[in-house]
Amino acid sequence: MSKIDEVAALVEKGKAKQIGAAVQAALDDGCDPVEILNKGMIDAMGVVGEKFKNNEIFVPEMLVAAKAMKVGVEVLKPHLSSGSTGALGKVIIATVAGDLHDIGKNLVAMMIESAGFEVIDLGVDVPIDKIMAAVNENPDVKIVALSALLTTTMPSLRDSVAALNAAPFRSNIKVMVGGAPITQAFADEIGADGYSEDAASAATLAKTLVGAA
Amino acid sequence: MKKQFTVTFLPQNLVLQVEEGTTLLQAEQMAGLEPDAPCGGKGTCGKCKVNITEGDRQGIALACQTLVDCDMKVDTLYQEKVQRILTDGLSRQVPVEPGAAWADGSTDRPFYLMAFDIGTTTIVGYLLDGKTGRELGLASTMNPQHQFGADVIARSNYVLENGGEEMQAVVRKALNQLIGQACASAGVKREEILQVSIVGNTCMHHLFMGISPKSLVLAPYVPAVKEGMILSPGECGLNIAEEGKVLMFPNIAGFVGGDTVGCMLSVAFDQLEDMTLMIDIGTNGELVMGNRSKMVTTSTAAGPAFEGAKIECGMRGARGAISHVSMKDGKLSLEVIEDVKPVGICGSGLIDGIAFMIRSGILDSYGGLCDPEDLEGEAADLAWRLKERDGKPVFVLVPGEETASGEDIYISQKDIREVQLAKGAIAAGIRIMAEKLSIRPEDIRQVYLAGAFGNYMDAANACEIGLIPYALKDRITPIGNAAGEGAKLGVVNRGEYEYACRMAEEAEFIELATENEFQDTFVDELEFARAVER
Repeated sequence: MSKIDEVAALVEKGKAKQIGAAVQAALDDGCDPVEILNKGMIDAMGVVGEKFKNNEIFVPEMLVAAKAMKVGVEVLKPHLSSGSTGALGKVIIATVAGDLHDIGKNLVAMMIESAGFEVIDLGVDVPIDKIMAAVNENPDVKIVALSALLTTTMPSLRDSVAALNAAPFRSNIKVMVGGAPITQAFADEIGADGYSEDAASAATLAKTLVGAA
Repeated sequence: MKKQFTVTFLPQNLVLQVEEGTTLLQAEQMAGLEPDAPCGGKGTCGKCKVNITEGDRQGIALACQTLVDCDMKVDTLYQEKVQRILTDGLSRQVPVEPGAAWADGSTDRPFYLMAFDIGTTTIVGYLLDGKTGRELGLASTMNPQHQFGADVIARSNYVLENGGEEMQAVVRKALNQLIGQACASAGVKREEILQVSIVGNTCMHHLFMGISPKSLVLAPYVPAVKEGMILSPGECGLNIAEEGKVLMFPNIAGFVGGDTVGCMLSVAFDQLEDMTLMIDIGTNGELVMGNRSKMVTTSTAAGPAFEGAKIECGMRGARGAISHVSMKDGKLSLEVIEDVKPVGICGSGLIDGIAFMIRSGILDSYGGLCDPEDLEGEAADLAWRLKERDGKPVFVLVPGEETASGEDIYISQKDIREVQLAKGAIAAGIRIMAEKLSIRPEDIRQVYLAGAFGNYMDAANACEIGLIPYALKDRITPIGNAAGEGAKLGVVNRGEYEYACRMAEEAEFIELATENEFQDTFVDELEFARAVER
């Protein structure tokens, strides 16, 4: 097994405790940091996301894999020149006002980042004006992704999308939505550009929305 | 005007006229039946099945998804639910000083008190003698609000969409019925009940009071009313002595309610010397940690796994549930409630089953089931239990030929993931609370387990799976229905009720969702630390 395959296997299994050493070993072995990132981590997260989509694995495995990748990226970061990540553009992501749930949103952020976007995570319980301000501060943003986990915060998601739809910058951005109670029909009804059911599909959707898939 | 049709519900033989387009579930509710519809009529849980015996479309159907469009005869398939409801707890002795009208001992008239614990699933009422504080009897029932949704989120949602009148009416009716039952069996009059106390989670409190639960389900999840309230029976729709009083226990936070305050009162939490952790596990796990110098509380979204929901062969702790799994003479041994053919597995059985798999090397620290051929030595005898179902690995607890339905009863890989999420949330909550108190989890001197689940679950196994820190495994005491005990103390002694209100104010609430380290801690705690590394 190559050093990069070892990193990939550890990401897939979510072995956060061992991954730092494996990334270091790959670097010491002379592997290209960008390749470690792409083949060892991003592709591995892709495999994890795909398995999740097919119900072969469940949320806990996704979470431990995402954590392992995060730990690995920390080791890799000093060796990566800026610009080797985020090539597909900026994505602003947030859980809407009234909702404090962030695990699903964090997984989506992780997958979108893995897919090659730069993610600006606004956190949870984010009021509409904060989302608007973030778009205004980042005029080059390509996508705004919003999450709502409870049926009770669906109206808040609706209001947030409505505000974006009324904004002058609307034609420059795409809006995608998700969360446990959200459906394609609801996404269409509130005027979002896209909906996806899980984190892996969200990454694919983001690429499609910017014409990169 | 819409057409009217006649619907007959069997075996109750209830006949009613309903408008075209009414769902059968709504019709059942209008008929005063209390159908099981934990998903709130969304067509997803499959619990409201009925059998249409006369009508255009006959056969089994979901009541919530079936519109009345002709005259129908419907078998409700309604079964008396036999549930074990926990009614005992540890009791602390307090002087009998209810502080109610003509309760000062100046007259010879007898009078009585009642303490209620309104749970999301069950309601228990205790009848007490007003002069001696002695318990005369109790009455319990399923919470009839169940027909509008199984959990607090589903019920809150229902109220936000449909208003809270029905929800309030059914729970008040249930309390009045329990008062009637308890009085009848003790041979006392309901007009002689001078005081009632009520504990319940914050949502049950709000629904009983007719307060909108909106603020509970939107961040930052705060109660609309926190303070304890002393009300007249008329204000609460309770039929007791007119001059009586109703004591509503206070709430601490949106998901830490009067039931937790009742638990705290039952052990006089803020007078404890030793560092103590109190856990009440239901759909949410409520935690209190501290001692007389400081108390913190939190609530974790444990999810309904330990109540058998979302578990493939899961069920509540009722007749036929596998309640314990252990190793006896080298063999897997089961305990089934009421010793009948097993029907499914309840929360305590699930914890035992997973602990069993950890000990026998079937489960690795990341929660994965092993391949049957990897089992060596004694464990190799268990290999036949590892099967595939629909291409997914499962661990068979009982083969089909020994179960009530003829189907295997098993724990699936997905079930194990659900348990990891539930125990991870509680374990992470415990770690973060300990950090707030600047202690290590192993510094906790005693663990009190409140509630039914805490009473039935095997504490050593709860530690084996990491629900409770392993270091605490010899320091755990189940304290039974502590919420109900607190309600009794409060109704018997007004000073105790006031003390509970003060304690609720003193306790500091931690919102885990806004704690930065929560997700990392949670992910760490998903692991089974005692299982083999593979």
